[in-house]
Amino acid sequence: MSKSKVSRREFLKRSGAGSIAITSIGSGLAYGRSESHQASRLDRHAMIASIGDTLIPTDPGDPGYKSLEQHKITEEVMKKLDGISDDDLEAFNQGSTEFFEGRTFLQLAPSHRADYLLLIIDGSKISDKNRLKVLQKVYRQTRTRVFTVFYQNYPENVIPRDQAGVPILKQRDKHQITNPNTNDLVTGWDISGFKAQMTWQEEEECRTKFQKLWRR
Amino acid sequence: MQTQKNYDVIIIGSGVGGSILAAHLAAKGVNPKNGEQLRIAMLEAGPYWKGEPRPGYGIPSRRQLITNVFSDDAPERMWPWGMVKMVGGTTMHYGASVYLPYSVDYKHWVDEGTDWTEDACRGAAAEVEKIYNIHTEPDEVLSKGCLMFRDAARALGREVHSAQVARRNCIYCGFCEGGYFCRYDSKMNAMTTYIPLAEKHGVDIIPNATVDRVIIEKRGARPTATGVAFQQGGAMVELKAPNIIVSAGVIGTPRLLFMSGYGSKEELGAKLIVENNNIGKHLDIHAAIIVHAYFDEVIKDGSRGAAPAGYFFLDDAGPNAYGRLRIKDSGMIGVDEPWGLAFSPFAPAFGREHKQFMKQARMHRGGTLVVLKKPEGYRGYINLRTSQMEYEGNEIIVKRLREGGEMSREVLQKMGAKKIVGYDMPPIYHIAHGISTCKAGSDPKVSVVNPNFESHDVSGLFICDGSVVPRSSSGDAVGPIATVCVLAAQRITANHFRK
Repeated sequence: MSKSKVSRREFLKRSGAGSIAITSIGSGLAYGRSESHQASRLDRHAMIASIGDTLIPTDPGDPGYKSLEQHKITEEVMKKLDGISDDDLEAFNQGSTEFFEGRTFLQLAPSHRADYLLLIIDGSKISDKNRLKVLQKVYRQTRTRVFTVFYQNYPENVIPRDQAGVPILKQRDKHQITNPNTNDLVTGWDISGFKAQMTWQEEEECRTKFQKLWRR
Repeated sequence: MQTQKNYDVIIIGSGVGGSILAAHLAAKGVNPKNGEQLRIAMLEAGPYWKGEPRPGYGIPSRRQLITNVFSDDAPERMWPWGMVKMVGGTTMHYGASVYLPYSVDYKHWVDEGTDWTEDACRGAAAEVEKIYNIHTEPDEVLSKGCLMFRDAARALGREVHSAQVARRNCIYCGFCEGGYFCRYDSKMNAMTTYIPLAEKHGVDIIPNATVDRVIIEKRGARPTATGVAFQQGGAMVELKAPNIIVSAGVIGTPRLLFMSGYGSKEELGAKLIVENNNIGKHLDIHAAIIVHAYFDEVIKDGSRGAAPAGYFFLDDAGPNAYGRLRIKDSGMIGVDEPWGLAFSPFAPAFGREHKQFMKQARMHRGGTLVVLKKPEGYRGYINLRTSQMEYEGNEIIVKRLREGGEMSREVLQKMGAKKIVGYDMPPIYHIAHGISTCKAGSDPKVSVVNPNFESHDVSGLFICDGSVVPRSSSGDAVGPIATVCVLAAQRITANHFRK
C-alpha cells in the first residue's frame, strides 16, 4: 500500500510548481525494490507487469491484475505488444528519474507509478516532445492490451475445443454449457458483473418467467 | 473436374435471399416442361449445423457450437468458422432488429425504376412479418433507461415508436444486439425459418462449397447461364442447371459476377464475357453515429435484457423522408461487454477509480444510435478485386448526423444524463446495411436486373438479395431485403416455374 498522502489531482497541481516540488513529494517514499535494481534492457516482463499492476491495482479482498500473475497474465499481455520496443520500455523506465529523485519506474512506489502515468497523460511537464511521444505510446498501447486481456476474462477466456474446433463439453454436461468462467478465481468478468452465457438453471428461471410473453 | 447431377435451379448463398428463394421455389415451383417438382441445389461456402429449431431452448449441436465467448486475439472462438460463410449467412449474427419497409421506402424503390409498390409487396411483407415473428416487446421486459428515453422524447414533442424485433420464445440473455449468434434458436434467422422449409421440400443444401464462377456461355446472340463451378474438399466441381439464382449478398454477389466475366469492360479487360457497367456500383448505405451517456442512477441491468427492443423516433429534414434520421435508445438495455466498457469515454484513465467504474458502469451507461437514411445523391461502390466497400460520403451526411446528435443530446439531457459524449462528433461516422450493388431497375443502362429479378444481359440468371434493393430503407436491412426476396420468389415462380 502506498504511504503517500498526495492525491493524483494534488500531484498534478503541485507538479505545476516544478520538478523540485515533485522531488520533495517523492522523498523518502522509495518502495519495494532494491535501490540497486535497474531494469534490464530486456526485462520486458517486469515492466509490463508493473504497468499492469498500476492500471488495475490489487488490494486486500479486491483482486486485480497482479492476482492473475500466477496464471501468467503478463505473458498473455506481451503476446501482442510488438509495437513497443525494448528501447521504448527503457525510455519509459528511465523517464521517471527526472521527476522522482532519480528513481526509475520499477523503483517507484505504486502510488508514484500512478503519478508518473498521470504525468505522461498530462504531458505538459515533459518538454522533449519526441520522448513524450514514446512515453505516451508505451502507456496507451499497454493500457489497451492490459484492459483487453483482463476484461476479456483471462485466464478463463478459452473454451477447450477438439481438432475440428468443436467445443469440448465438461463431463456429465447435459445442457452444452460452454461458459469458461468459474467461481475459482476473480476475473475481469467477475469484477465488472458480466454474466456471459446463462447457466441451465438461469435459463430455466427465465423460461418460467417469460413464457407468458411468448408469441406462437 | 467432377460433374455431378443436374438440377433445375441452383441457388448460390443461403442467407436472407437464398433461404427464401429455396423454400418458395421448392414448395410452389414446378418444372414447366413436365410439371414435376423442381430439383434445387443451394450452395453455401460455409458449414451447415442443421437441426429442427427449438425456439427458447436451442438444439444440442448448435448450443454446443455457439459459445458467445469473444476474444480480441481469437474472435473466431465465438464461432470458429467465420461470421458470414455458413448456412444461414448474415442472418445468423444480425441484431434481431427487423423493420419492414415504410410506405416511403416503397415509393423510393419505384422512383429508382422498379414496380415494387407497397401494394405489390404487401403479401411479401406480411409473410416476412409472420415467418420472422416480428413484434414489439412489452414494457415489462424493457429497462428503466428505455422508459426514460420514451418519456423524455415524448416530453420534447417527439412521436415515439416501439422497436421491432424478430424473435420467438426469447429468454432475454441480452446478447442479440452485439451481433452474437443465438444459442436458444430464439433469434429468427434463415436456419430457424426458411431453411427447414426448404429441406422439407427436397432442396439439396450443399455446404462448404466455395463458388468460383457462374458458367456463362454465349449461345447465339444472348449469353446464357448454364451452371456453376465451385470448390469443395479440394476438388473443383461443376453443377449444371438452366436457372442460376445468385444470392451471395451485397459484396459477394457483384464479386462473383465479376469473377464470372460479367461486369465492366474497363475492369475485366480480356476476361469480359458480358458487359454491364453497374455491377458493384450504386452502393447505398446507412450512416450512423453513437451518442454515449452516463447516468448517476441505475438505468439497466447491463448483463441481461431484451435488446434491441426499446423505443425510437424519426426525424425528416424535408418531404418524402428527406434525410430521415432514426434515433434509438440503443445502449439502454442488453449486455455491456466489459472489454468495451473499459475504454468508455466516461472511464477514468486507470487505477482504483477505473476499477470502481468497471464495477458499476454497466448499470449506468446508456446512449443512442443515430441512423441516417442517406438523402439521394452520392453512392459508393464495391472494389471487386478487394471486396471492400468504398464510400466517401459528403457534407449533407455529416450535417444531418450532427443534427441527429444534437437531438440525442436533448433527449439524454432531459433524461438526466450526467455526461454526454459523441453528439458533436467530427465528420467521422459508421456505415452499415450496404445495398444496391447489383441494382434492380427497368433501365439496363443503370441497373443489373429488371424488376422481375432477371439479369438484363444473361438468360437463366437471377439475382435476389440485398444487392438488388435499389435504395436504403427507413429501418435496418434484413426486413426490406427479406420482403424483396419474397417478392422475387413469388415473381420467379409465377414467371418461370408454373406448368
